[in-house]
Amino acid sequence: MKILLIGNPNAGKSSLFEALTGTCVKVANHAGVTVEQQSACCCLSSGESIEFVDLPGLYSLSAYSDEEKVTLDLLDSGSLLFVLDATHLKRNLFLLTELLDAGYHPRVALNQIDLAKKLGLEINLKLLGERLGLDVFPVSARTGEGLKELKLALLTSALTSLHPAERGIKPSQRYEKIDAILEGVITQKPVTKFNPDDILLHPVAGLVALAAIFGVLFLTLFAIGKPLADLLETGFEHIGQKILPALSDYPLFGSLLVEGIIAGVGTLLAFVPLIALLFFLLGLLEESGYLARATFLLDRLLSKAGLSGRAFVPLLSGFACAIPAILSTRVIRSKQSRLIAMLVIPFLSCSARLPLYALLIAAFFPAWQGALVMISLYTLGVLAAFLGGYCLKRFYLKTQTDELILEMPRYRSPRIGPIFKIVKERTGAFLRQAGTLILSMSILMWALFHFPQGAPIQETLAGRLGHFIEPAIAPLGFDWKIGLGLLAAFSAREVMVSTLGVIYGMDSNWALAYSPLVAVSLLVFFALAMQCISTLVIMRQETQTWRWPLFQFVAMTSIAWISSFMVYQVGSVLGY
Amino acid sequence: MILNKLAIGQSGRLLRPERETAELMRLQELGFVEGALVRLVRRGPLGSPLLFDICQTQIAIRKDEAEHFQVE
Repeated sequence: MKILLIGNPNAGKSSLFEALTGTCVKVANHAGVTVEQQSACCCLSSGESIEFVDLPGLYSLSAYSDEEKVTLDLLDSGSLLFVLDATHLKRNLFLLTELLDAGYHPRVALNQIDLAKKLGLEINLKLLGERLGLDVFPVSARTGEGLKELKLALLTSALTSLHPAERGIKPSQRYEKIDAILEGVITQKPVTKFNPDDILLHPVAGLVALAAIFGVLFLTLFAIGKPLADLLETGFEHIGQKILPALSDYPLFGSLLVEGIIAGVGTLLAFVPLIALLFFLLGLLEESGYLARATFLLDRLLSKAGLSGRAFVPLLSGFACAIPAILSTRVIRSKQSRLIAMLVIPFLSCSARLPLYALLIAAFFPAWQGALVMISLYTLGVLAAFLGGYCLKRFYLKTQTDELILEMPRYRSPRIGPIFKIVKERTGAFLRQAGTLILSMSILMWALFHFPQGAPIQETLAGRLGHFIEPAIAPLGFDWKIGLGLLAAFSAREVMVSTLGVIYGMDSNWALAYSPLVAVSLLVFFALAMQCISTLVIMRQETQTWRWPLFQFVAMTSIAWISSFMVYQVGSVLGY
Repeated sequence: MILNKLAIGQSGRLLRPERETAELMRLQELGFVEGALVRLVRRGPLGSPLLFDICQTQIAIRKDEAEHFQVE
């Protein structure tokens, strides 16, 4: 027996799913490309088993997106349990009456009945049931009220399918019908309550609160996530160095194992704390209802760049690392604005760019100038992201319409269980799907830097590649050594610093071998270029095509090249 | 009067929309239908989006979308 939970977004479907299946043994997540659904099998004492499936929320049966089409195709695969939100009866009845008209005969759980009482709503259940021709079970997933009765009913009542009634009636006619159904069903007692939105959505106070909340979020990511990531990375390096002497008889294998594989695993795992933490924080924001408020406050600003207000957290996370940021763009509902967000996020200066920024700035600029250069680099990234988004929206993806329909959910205390579930699922999916590719790339990079065996770095494959690309980067003021460093940066941007260190010999500051103008040109290039294989791998995973990562690579690298070219050539003419 | 000209806290009844596009259809399903009572709760910074009370729900839409509707 299979029971599908269907209802509007925010109707408490997932809470009810949890409450019904809480004691169940097997829970499976089907995280597909387009649709995410959860199912759980419950074995009953009678030996029967019920499978509950939590479908994505729907407002109506007309499918506007691919996701909705897939969901609609699933409707016939089991019997339906409609989750009716007692606090939004009228709007919820739109989908329910559509289902009835289409010949479905769902059982109805009137959820959030406790909240409705708190809001002063009194609902005449008997009348509602009679008008709908269905049994309506009042429940509260939160308090557990009515769940027993609902479960019993799910097991016993046999279903008769109805003949499809009126089809294709207009929304306005349907609402007339709903008004007739609800006539005398709801009585509202007046309740006055403090509304936090008076502050949190206030044009001034709301923005201050928003800055504070996101400030805390960003600092958490940096203060907790980043050290954990660094710890994992250096930890693996450390393990590698411990193993290396034991393999001194097999230098090539030892080097592959330590510098290729173990270091690669370290790089891969270092993303995990950042991803997990970001999804946890996003989960808190979404569950509490605040994410919708942030969207409301930021939509105007971000819509100019083709982004929705929901893109803000992913964008902010881009300053820490593009990988979790791109993964977290899943919170953006519109496909087009999600794509734009994914494409522009790598412009934002991630923390892996910092070591090179810091080294070059320290070498060439005294304190206050250095601070100014640092701020300029971050600003450059933000500007590039916004302009990039604007151009993409204007010229490249303009065929699709963009809209915002945002329901303000009520504030509530976040449920930790589901958040942890998402965190676990996302990090797991990252390791499974991107892990192999990121690891292979790490081994490939190792090979480039170690063959032919025993050769000095300038004569390895990577060294030759550096020489090969020199003519292309010479107009930017770069020599083959910088070219080699840029190639090495593909495995992780921070590697650039150590690679040039190896070429020049560790003890001297290699940056001083270059002029200040070359340093500035390099900083600009480094801020704007797509220099991270892991990001490209994630783009491939999330867009399911190589088209977008390739586009991103070519576009960002061209923009970086042109910008650096202008900096270097204009600077040279001016005599710097 | 165009829907986005409502003052904050002011209510109005929606009139029949002039055109019926797919985008408007979605809003109609959410309750933006002829005769429905809407109240403008607040505006976002810089005047968009607009937050409406409709069918016991608060729904925000962008200014351009609100321009498609007339109220009385």
